Order: sequence, then C-alpha cells, then structure tokens
Amino acid sequence: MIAFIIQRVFQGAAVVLAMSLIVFVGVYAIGDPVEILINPDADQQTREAVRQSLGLDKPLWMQYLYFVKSALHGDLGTSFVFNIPAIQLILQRLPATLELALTATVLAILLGIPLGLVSGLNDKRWYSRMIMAGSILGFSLPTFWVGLILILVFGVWLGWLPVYGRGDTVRFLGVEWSIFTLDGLRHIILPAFNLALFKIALFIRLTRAGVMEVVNQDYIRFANAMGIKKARLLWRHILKNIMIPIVTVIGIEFGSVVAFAVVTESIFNWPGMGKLIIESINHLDRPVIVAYLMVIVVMFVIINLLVDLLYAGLDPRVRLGSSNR
Amino acid sequence: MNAMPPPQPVLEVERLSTVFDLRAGTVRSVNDVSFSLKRGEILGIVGESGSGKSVTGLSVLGLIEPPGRIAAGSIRLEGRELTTLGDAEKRKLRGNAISMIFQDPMTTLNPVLSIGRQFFEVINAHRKVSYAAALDEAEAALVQVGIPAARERLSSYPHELSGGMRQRVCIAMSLINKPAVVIADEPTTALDVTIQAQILYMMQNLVRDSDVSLIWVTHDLSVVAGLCDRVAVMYAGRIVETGPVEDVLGNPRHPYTRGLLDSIPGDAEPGRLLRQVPGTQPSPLDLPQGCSFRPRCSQARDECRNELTSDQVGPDHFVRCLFKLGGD
Amino acid sequence: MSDLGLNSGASPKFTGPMRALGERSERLRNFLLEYAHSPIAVVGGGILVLLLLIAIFAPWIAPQNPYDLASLSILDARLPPGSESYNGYTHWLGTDGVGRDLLSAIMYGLRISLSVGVLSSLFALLIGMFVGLFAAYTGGRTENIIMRIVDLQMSFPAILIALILLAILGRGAEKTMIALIAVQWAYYARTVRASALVEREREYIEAARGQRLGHFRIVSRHLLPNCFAPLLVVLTVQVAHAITLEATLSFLGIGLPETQPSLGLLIANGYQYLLSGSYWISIFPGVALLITILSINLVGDRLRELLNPGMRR
Repeated sequence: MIAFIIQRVFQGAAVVLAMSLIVFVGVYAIGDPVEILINPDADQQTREAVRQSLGLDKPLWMQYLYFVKSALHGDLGTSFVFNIPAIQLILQRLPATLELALTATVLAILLGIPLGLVSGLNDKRWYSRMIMAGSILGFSLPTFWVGLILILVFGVWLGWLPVYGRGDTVRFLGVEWSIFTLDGLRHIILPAFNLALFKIALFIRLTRAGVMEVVNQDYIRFANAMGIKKARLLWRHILKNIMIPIVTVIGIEFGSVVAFAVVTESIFNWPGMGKLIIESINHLDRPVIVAYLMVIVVMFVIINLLVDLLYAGLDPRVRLGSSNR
Repeated sequence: MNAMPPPQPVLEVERLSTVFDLRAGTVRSVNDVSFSLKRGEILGIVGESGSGKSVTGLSVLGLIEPPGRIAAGSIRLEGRELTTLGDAEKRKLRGNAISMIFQDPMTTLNPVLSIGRQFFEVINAHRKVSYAAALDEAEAALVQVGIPAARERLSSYPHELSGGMRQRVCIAMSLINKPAVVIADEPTTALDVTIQAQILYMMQNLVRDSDVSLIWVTHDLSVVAGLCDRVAVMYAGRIVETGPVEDVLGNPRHPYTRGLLDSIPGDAEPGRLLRQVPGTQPSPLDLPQGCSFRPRCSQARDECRNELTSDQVGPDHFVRCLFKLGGD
Repeated sequence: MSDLGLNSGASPKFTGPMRALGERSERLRNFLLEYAHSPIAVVGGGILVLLLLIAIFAPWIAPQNPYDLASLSILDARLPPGSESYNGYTHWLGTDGVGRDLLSAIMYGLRISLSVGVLSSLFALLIGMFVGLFAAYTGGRTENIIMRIVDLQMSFPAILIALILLAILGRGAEKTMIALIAVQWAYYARTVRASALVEREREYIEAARGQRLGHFRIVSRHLLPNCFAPLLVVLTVQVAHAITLEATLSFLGIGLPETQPSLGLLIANGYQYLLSGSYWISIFPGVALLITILSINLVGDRLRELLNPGMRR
C-alpha cells in the first residue's frame, strides 16, 4: 500500500514536471519572454533589467531551471492587469471556483444517481425511457448554450433567479462563501445546475449500466433466494457494488467540472479562476495564464492521486492487493 | 395406542406447470410435474440442460419472474399452499423455510461484503439478532461445514477463499436459518472431483444430523447413485420416471433412463464403446404430441402419439411410458 | 471481449481482408437496411444530410450574403423574426446587431462549424490511426510508452487541453484546429490499437509475416481494414465533440476569429442582446448547433449499435 502511494506520488510529480516543461517551452521559448512577462508599456530600461534578471543570455536549460526554481518559490510573475503576483491572484479566485464545482458535483450526484437507479431497476418502463432520453439530451447540449437558456428563462423571462455574480458572501474558515447566505445560494443555483447538467447525464448512464449489470449477478439472485428484502438488497448488496466505480468516476469528473467552470463562470460572471483565465487570455496577461496552468495541473494530479487511494480503500479486492477475479 | 400415521411429506408438488410467455410462443418448461419429499429425505432430480429441472427448483422457491409464471398445480410446504402466497410472504419463506444452493460458488457470494456480513444479512432477513450474535451463529455453521479457523474467515472476503471453501460457505448460509427444505442446483458441477466428493459426503452427514430434506438437481447420475434416496428423471419438462434410487438405477423402465445410464463411462466394460442417446431434446416451443421422447426413442410406435399417464411399476416407482422396458 | 463482436456482429462489412466489389455493395445495402430499422436514427441521418447540403451550398442558397457589408443596413438591426426590412425583404429568423439576416448568417455559420469540426476530426483520425497502428505493430516498450502518453492525455478533460494550447498559441482559425486535433487524436489512437491488437494475434497476420510481406503491406492490407468499423463510430462521436468544443471556445472568444463567424461566435455575438430581450440573435444559432450535434449523435449511437466496437469504458 505504501509502495503504491509512493509510486503514484512520483507519477504525479513527473506529470507536473512534464507540464512545466510544456508551459515553459510554450510561453518562454516560442515567444519572447520579455514581451510575455512584462507590461508592453514598459520602457527600454525596464526591459533590459528584466532580461538580465531572467538570465536570457544563458542557455535554454538554465533558463528552465530558473523557471522551475522561482515556480517552487511561488513566483510565477506579476499580473500586468492587476499588478499583483499571478499566483496570489489565482489563489484568491480559487475558492469561488471550488465552491461552484463542489455544488455542481453534489447536485449531479443527488440527481444523477437516483435517476440512474430508477431507470436501471425498471428498465422497460416509460419513465425510464424518459430519463434515458433526457440523458442523451444532456450529453448533446453544449454547456454554454444551456447556460444561455437558463439565463433567458429564469433570469430574463421569469425573473426568478439572479444570473450575475456570486451575491452576498460570508467569511468562513478564512474564505468567502456564497452557499452560506440566502442571497448567495440564490446566485449559485443556476450556474451550479448549468455546470452539473452534463455530469447528471453521465451519472445516470453510469448508475443505470451498473445496476443493470449487478442485478443479474448470481450473488444478487442468491441474496434474493435467501429472502433478503428488496430495499436492503438495493442499499447493501447492489449499491455497494456499483458505488465503487461511481465514486471513482465522481472523483475523476470533479477535475473536469473545475475545467468546465471556465465556461459557466464566463456566462454567469462568476468571479472564479475560470473567468479570470479567459480574461487573461484576452488581455494577454501571460503570468496569470502560466500560474493558472500550473495550479490546475497540480490540482489534477492531486485529484487523480486521491481517486486512486479512494478506490483502493473501497474495493476489498484492491485493498488486499489480490487480483483474484 | 393407535399405530403411527405415515409421516406427512414436508413438501408436496402436485401437477405443477411453469411456463414462460415469450414473443416466439409459450415455453412449457415444467409440465405437469408431481413429487413429494419426506423429512430427512434426499431427492435427486436428473435431466439434461433445458429439461426443466432447475425451473422446478425455482418454482418451489417462488423465484419465477415474468415472463415466467406458474400456470397450474400446487406446491405445499408442511401442508401450506405456496403458489397463492403474496410476494412478501414468499420472501419470508425463502432462506428460512426453504433455501437454495447455487451452482457456481465463484459468483454466488457478494464480492464487496465480508463473509460475516453476508451471514448477518441472511439471518437478519428473518430474525432480529445483533451483529455479534449473528457472527457467533455463523462461526458455528462454518465449523459444521468443515471450514478451519472459522472465526477468522468471517472477516474474509469471498475472493480470499477457494471455490470449494466458498461452496461450503454457501451451504452453511443456506442452512443457517434451519430450513425444512434445501434445493441444491448442481452445486458441485463447478468443482474439482475430489472437492465434489468431500462436499457430497458432508451433505449426507448434514442431512442425517439436521433432518433437513434436500432436493439435489443434477445432470450426473453417478452423484445421484451415491447421494440420494429417491430420484426423478426429467425430460422436456416432465418427470418420465421416478422411484427409489436402487430401483430406478438398478432396473430402469423408461428408455430415456436406460439411455442415460448407458452413457455413464463408469458402468461400461473397459474397452467397450459407450452408448449415447441419439438426437437432441425437442424445442420447448414445439413439443411432440404424446411422449416427448418419441422422436429419439428406439421403441417408439404410433400409439406413443397418444397422451400418456404415469404408471406404477413397483413400490413408489412410476414410469411415464407405454412400452416399459422389461421388469425383473 | 466485445471486440470480438466485430466479427460476429450485425455487419461484418468492414472486417477481414478486402472483399470483392460486388460483395461490398451487397453488404453496404444490407447495412443500410439494418440501419433503417431504427426510425429515430433515420430521422437523425436525414437531418444530418440536409445540414451537410445546406453547409456545402450555403453561398448559393442563402437569401443574403451576410458578409457583404454593402448589403447591410444598420436600420435593419435587431429586427425580430418574421419582420420585413425597409427594402421589403422578410427576415424569417430576424436580424442581428448589425442588421444581418440571421438565417443567412446561420447557414454560413453552419458551413464554418461543420468544416472545422469535420476537418479537425479527419486530421486527428489520420494522426491517431498512424500512432495506434505504429504502437500495435511495434509492440513492446515503444507501445507501452505511446499508450501511457495516450492514457495520460485522456485523463485531462478536452476543454482544459484546448485551453492550455490556445493560451499558449493565441486565438485563430489554424490554432483552433490544432487545439481540436490535439484534443482528439488520442481517442483514435486508442481505438485503432485496441482493434489492431485483436487482429495482431490472429493467424493470418502470422501467416503474412511468415510470407515475408512488407511491413506496410501487412499493416495496410491486414491490420487497417479491421479498424474501420470502430474508427467510423469514434469519428461520428468526435465530430460532434469537435463542433461543440469549437463552439464553446469561439463563444469564450478564444477560438475562431471574428472574420470566421461559426455558430459559436454567432451565439456569442447575440449574448450581449440576450438580457435586453432580443433573444433570437443568440437562440436561433444555438438551436441550429443543437440540431447538428443531436443528429450526429443519433447517427453515431445507431452506428455503435450496429458495429459494436466495444468502446464502452
């Protein structure tokens, strides 16, 4: 188990390193780093000073080492637009994104898994077909387009819910939260649902496929032949089996939710790091881009690691290091 | 005092018909089947795959689900009619008064629940007991079926046990609520021959000690010969011959029983060619009129197209054939 | 595995070595007949063909050339659907913020969206096919390394990869294409390798090697034909993905440039008018996009059912 963790940590570190190389080559080697890293309005003297300090007269590999060294110290440059360290800017916006992504994931679980269970257990019923048709639609609808429709219907036509920003926030554990105020809660409903829609469709399909596979297994027939009640059969015997792959997918998909928050945040003006990165790309605020990319890669690596550990913890066949099946 | 009345059978199945309504037509999987089972008795039901032997077992357990249904007949457990019970009442009987052992022990246990937890589930479905008390009971049951270090095994998961061990666990589970009848559906087919012998020996002892009645569904006549008290031979949904094991196997009166016996390697003289039953079973959608075995039977004549009855040919020995093979 | 279903499944049309031409057309006919057993897939296929025709012939059938600035008048801006312009022309879907006929703009947008989606998918298919075949054919360490990279890339969501690339490369048509190709190639590589692996173990490949046929000949004549069915399915799914992703990137303003207004850009341009009630400028291009993606997905689902290339995870 320890060896397994160490192996995964090393793998993750390798991915982060590879990514830093790609970002470095992409941002520093292809373009002129001076153009990238300092304000275009800066005068010639400043440019020279930066050129010196970056060591651009040195060979490329030394430049890379310098990049890595400052990255490890949390120094990824200063935003031209906001004039504060890029990494600090990203970390300021991170909680809003995480809050949105978590809410969306919870929503996807609460809606997707029960609907998947219902349609998997009653495969042939009309409502199961409706659920499946809905999930196909959920897969086909582009996220940004659903966002527009939500704004149009609930914001413009019905006027029920706000469609702009986070609303009131409250400080908790040193971070601002929307979900703990009524106004914030009203603000998060539409963006969270927008972000969740694709995942709801995914969880429906996954749960349904799992249920339909497990109910035909011998061990469920045996449990039924032993007189175990339907409800208990579902909760203990079926759900426990399908939850292992589902929990894994939820973990993996959380990363994807964070990535897709870029779209939802831009539409609903949610002040997270996704909206920030789009603005930074449009303003060519490259230190912020670099910082975003590094932060999100590290986040992904951590999520994948946690998912692996979770999976190992849940499945007795993996947990005991046996592969007898 | 009066003489003791003959002991009442634990299980009586009378003229049972189980059908499956498929789009292609109605499949008569079990057709007019009757048998009874006394306390502590072991009945073997023998037949090829598709003969209806497994469906008979599932019908008794009330596990026939649409498109299948019990079309006619009666099943009585200790005098109580089962075919008219509701789902909840049937469930209360399953695993309690009647239980079942499945064919493949590798897939019968839930891979993500510990053995102890699965025992608790089976006990708790019928009796309110604490988890600790259930584990004590389970441990005793595991000892009974010959599992070493039973206490430790309770915290094991199925994949940590061998196939033979898993089947012992399944057997212990099916017996834990002290059922009157256990239906075993080819429980040794998936196991090695040596393990099979151990399990058969163990089952005989368990039945002798606990007074449970056992229905052993199999395609293997040699297992029946060693284990059972009585045997019912099924063909295309019907019982074609039934009686005490020594009578049916020693003096088969139905051509199909004869054919099955002839195809056992162990009974043949070394070097002689094995005989086999020619042809295959008829399609269950399109059973021949009269005797279903007619198309494959060397004795068949025109009269075999008529409906036939089950005739008594000896004490408790019945045959469904017009031209029975020679008696003693 | 279900990969084997390829050879026993409904349509063995693409499997096995080359067939005689007559037999092929016969198989194609049977395949189409079987496809037609699903009415909804026929509807999807019909709509898709119609959309393709519109995209191809847009310059000839659109009521107006939406990019001929001389024909535009600011007086016609933001007319609701069905209104008449001042020169007596009816705008069935209304006009956008600069007085462009929305129906014409959608026809041209469809042309851009479909060509970007299809072209990038085809390029990705070629790259992925080459990489997958190379991996399966060489085997060993090389295969391991290639597939590790494929798996690693697939563990990142497509939008993130596209975002990283466009952040580095900047906005533009070719750059968007590069991003779309980079996002997709791994899927094709994995699919091709999976089907090639099944075939690799078959006796006839051994026989071909034994006869000392050239590497190229073995790959192109024996391995490749067996990958067609799963590739076709992945292609339809990926074209839908590519179109969605391009629309998303363009909507965010980091995809196609303003001079190439795909459906995504049309939606983005209408977005600013959405809150003021001119919903049609954004909604109609969105409906066009939705119909396109849905019809492709319907066709893709049916192809998957028929060809069954075991690509569920």
